[in-house]
Amino acid sequence: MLKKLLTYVRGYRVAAVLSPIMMLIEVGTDVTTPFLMRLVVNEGVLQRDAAAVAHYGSLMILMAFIGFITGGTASYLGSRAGQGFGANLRQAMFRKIQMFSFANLDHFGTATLVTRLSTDAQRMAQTAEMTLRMAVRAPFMLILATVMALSINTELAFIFAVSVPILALALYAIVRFAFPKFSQLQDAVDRLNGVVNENLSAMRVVKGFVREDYEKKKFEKRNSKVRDISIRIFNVIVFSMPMMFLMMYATMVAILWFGGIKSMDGQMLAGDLIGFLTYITQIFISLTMLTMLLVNYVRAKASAVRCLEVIDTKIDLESPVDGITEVPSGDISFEHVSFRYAGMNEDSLKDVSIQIKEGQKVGIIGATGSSKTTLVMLLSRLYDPQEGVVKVGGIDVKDYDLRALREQVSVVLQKNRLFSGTVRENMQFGNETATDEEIWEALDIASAKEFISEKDGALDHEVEAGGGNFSGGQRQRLTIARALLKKPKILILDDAMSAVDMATERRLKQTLAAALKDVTVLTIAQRISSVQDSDLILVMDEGRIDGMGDHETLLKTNTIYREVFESQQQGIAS
Amino acid sequence: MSRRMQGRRAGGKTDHKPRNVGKTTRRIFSYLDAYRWRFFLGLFLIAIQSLAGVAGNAMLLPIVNGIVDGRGIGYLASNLAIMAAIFVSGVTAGYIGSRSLIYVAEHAVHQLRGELFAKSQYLPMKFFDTKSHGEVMSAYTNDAEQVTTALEDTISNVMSSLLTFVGTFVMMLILSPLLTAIALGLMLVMLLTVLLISRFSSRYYKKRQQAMGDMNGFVEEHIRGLRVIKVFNREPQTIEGFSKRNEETKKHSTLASTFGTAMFPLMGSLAMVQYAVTAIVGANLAIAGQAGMSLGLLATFLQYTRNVSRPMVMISQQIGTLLSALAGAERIFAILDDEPEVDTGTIELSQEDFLSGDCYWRVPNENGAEKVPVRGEVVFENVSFSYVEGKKVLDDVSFYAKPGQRIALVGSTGAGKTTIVQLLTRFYEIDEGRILVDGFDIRDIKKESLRMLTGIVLQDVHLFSDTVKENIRFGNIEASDEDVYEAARMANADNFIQPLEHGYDTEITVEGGSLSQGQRQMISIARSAIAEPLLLILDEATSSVDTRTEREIGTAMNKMMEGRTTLVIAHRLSTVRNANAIMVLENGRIIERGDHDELMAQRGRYYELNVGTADLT
Ligand SMILES: Nc1ncnc2c1ncn2[C@@H]1O[C@H](COP(=O)(O)OP(=O)(O)OP(=O)(O)O)[C@@H](O)[C@H]1O
Ligand SMILES: Nc1ncnc2c1ncn2[C@@H]1O[C@H](COP(=O)(O)OP(=O)(O)OP(=O)(O)O)[C@@H](O)[C@H]1O
Ligand SMILES: [Mg+2]
Repeated sequence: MLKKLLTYVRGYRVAAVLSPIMMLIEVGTDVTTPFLMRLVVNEGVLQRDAAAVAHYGSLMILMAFIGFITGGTASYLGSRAGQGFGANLRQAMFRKIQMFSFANLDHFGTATLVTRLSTDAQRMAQTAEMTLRMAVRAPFMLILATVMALSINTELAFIFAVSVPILALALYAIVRFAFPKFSQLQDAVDRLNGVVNENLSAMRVVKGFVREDYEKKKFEKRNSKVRDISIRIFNVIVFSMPMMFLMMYATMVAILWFGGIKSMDGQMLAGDLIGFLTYITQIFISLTMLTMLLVNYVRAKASAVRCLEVIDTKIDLESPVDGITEVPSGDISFEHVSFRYAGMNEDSLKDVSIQIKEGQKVGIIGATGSSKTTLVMLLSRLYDPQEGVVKVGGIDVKDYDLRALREQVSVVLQKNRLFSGTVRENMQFGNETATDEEIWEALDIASAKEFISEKDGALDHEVEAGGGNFSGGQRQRLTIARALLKKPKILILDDAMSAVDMATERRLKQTLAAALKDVTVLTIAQRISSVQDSDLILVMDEGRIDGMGDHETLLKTNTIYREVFESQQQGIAS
Repeated sequence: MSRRMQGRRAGGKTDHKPRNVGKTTRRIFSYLDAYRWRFFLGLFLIAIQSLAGVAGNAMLLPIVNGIVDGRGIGYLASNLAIMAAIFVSGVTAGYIGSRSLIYVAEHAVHQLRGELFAKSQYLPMKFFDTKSHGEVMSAYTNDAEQVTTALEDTISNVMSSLLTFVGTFVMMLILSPLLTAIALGLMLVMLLTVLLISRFSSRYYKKRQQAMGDMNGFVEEHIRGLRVIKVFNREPQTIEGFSKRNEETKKHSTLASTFGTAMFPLMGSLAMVQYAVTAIVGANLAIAGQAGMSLGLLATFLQYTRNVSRPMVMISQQIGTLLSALAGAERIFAILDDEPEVDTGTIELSQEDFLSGDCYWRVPNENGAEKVPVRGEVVFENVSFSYVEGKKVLDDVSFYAKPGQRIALVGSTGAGKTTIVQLLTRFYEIDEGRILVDGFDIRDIKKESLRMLTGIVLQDVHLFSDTVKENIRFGNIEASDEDVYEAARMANADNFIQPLEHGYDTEITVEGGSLSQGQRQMISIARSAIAEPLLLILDEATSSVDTRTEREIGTAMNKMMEGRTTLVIAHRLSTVRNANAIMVLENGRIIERGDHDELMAQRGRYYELNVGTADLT
């Protein structure tokens, strides 16, 4: 894991190496200070030598200066490397997520991906910074201070040999206890945020069903859980500090006792004793730092696992090397295609075979859950079928360069989505270089020109995230316009007009037909009126093609189609 | 500057300075009321810890002097015993104090979060329209966390640092006013440095928060929209957009933390200089035997000199944390203080079962309350409404639905149909006119009762990440499992739920996971069916459901809604055809009304909307 993480230091290696070195120098100055101090006392004051005091005093000031320069540089370099590491990690995660296939996305779900990219990656950056600042400093200071203490008096140092292991044992116990608790806390917080997030999205449902109390209870359960786990963890974590102080004070008292006796016997100078005390403080400060670092690692480990899980995900659908970049025509064929979603125990598509010629207008109709959406998703290779071949322009979709294929097969998803930004920005999603003129043209074809021109600022009108400030049908037409701007060879409209009224739909269909003469268009719909003019209509039933043909043929040959037609026809014929 | 700050929306994530420190602090403390003694005990114990630290170190003077003067083991032992006693009591007090503060902070913030969530349940829809999720979420995450940290650590740290500082300073003054004066000069330099650096670091900190907020918002939106991004091949542009924000975050974070952490070496060095200068002067004095300077005194004094700079650094750092915690608390309070939905209605729905027929309105009057039977009549009287001022979405809309009737609203997209539903359930307040239910203005009916009466199936399906069963039960939490299955059968959802891996116990996600769009709609219908409402509103409830299934659902629903009122919005003729009356809405006005046959005969807009579906003339 560590090795993997280290690769994200890329670009900041110099800083990452230099920062600890600078830090070492700084620690060096830190540690020499009490040494100099001892000299001031022993050689200056005790010998009544003012020159010596001045000499060692100015050395101290020099040390201070060096300490400042190196310490400041170390801070900057450490921050640079730590934050750089964090940014690299985030970048790698985001990049990877962008490569995720639909199946990968199904596997993770979006909510956790968002927390992993924000909270977890951030914690990693902080840990990296902390590591650079302390992981070298603390042990080094510990060693140096110990050596210095030893150099003053080896006998007194045996006291450390007693107190430090006791402390280490206590800290180890604390960390052992805290580790599993921290991942529990992280999960609990995740769940708490999850409840809030869903509650915000579904506020109308909550209000509509008067379920405020129910939601509050749900929240309260998670809220108390977070509180209780936090109290439990932190009660143990804060125990490390009194342990630390206790051991430090105990050591101090012990040293004063043994050192005092020695000193009174004339075996030790008073200055040495004072110097020794200072080193105790330094030793324990470095131990405190190590503890903090340890606690932080415990917390960060959970995050690291979550981040790497994203990065290490195997993309189950990749673009072939040297894939074909040109889709020769809008022909489509399905040859004995079967498909099953991961984790399902039944095929969603069963032995489907279809032939569609360029420029044909195809309608797809079928019951809810009959796999209409699944069928069209295979065309732009959003999923790969387990059996059979899907061909576009006479070539297996797996042989195309993925981007090229998706550039020329445009899908309006059933679960469509607008992004926050202006209407223009949303349209340029379909084609980055689209001019205002082209955008208006697409909006016109999609019957969206009228209502957009009425909005303040027209193309500059701000769309709320998710498109909340447009009505359902308006949103759908905007997503159609967006797809048109791609100028595709094949256009797929998955239930893209369900919220559009019939008069508008009719107009839309006419303009679409006129504008897309050579484009193969697949329209999934529930209204017969939406598909009946199609050259070819597919009737789907439980993952199979139940019937195929034009309106007239199907009326004669297909029961499902006839029934649907008749039920929708009642009233009009009167 | 303050003008700009005030101009900003309360809760804007860019505010980092609290606006009213005193008031906010008092308000935070009001959350500590229940734990008041614990909190003060905590602070008191921590104060003892700090004082014990100072006092314990003060014992060094007699001890070292005793050693130098050779006062003997007995003297050493007794002084060390006192020192140890002081230290042990300090540590114990500190530990108990920290635990008390943790307890108090976690409980107080738990309560704060609870209130925040409770409050947001009663905020008007307008609030959610104008605020992004990210903004509201950060109140629960960042802001609440900052308040916790402040209560748990920061306040006590500032206090103990202050005490240590003052204590140390006083000891220094007692020991040697002359040396203290010298030290003071350097301390002032340190103080200025601290202030200067804090200014820088808080500026960069602010920028960092902005950059990070922006980046996280981007991440949230673009991961949710990833499927669309992939379909449009927008990965490179999206990555580029992210990189820009990531870079920006990195840049500001690097600077913010550089300034934050450079404080330590800087202050450390200044402290060292101070130490050296004090040592030189003190040693000279001691050599000259002036100003009563002894070796023990100098040693002790120097020990204090080292200790005096640390609390200064601490305080300067903590003040920043404290201020941003206050700013965070203000954002939370701003939400808590936001106007809740207006609900001044007094008329209540009796809690008894609707089906049993003895369901009535409790209308309070001078002598108690009057019982009025519930019928389910809806009347819109000259209703006008706009989301954005000046842009009328509904204009003088009037219609009625008699009890038991099925009324359809049709019209082109964006005509205002969904808006009508949102007004009837009082998600938004109308600007003009009246809406009456059973003759009562809905503003006089308790909101809760009004919404209990109505069951809505919304155009946008929102499910919760929970089991299928619990999602359906959401409509009526008292429903038994049997009721859930019954409702699912009514919505024709049983067919596809049964074969799912865990049947009704299958976990679904917010995005629906493994369900098709039509299946999600059916679950949402089942959820409303289980509530058995007196007034049912279906807003494009079956737009993605096939006609056959829709008809089956329709038949079942009709049976359930017998004698009750239904309002349907749909574009599909088959859905609206059987309505008793159809209202055709265009640009926020009702332009035609009648039943299907009449409207078809009129050859108006309704005719236009439908004809062509079969090309008949
Ligand atoms: N991501 C998925 N993972 C697992 N199963 C899925 C997934 N998406 C859909 N399914 C299942 O596959 C079947 C076909 O779904 P699909 O979305 O293709 O139906 P559909 O015909 O488009 O329905 P609708 O008319 O409701 O949109 C359904 O039974 C559904 O439960
Ligand atoms: N939250 C909002 N803020 C601002 N404008 C809005 C908001 N919601 C809807 N609108 C606007 O109000 C008008 C009416 O919208 P409404 O959702 O009521 O239409 P609708 O008749 O239900 O349409 P559809 O059939 O497409 O669902 C539209 O022009 C829409 O852009
Ligand atoms: Mg579908």
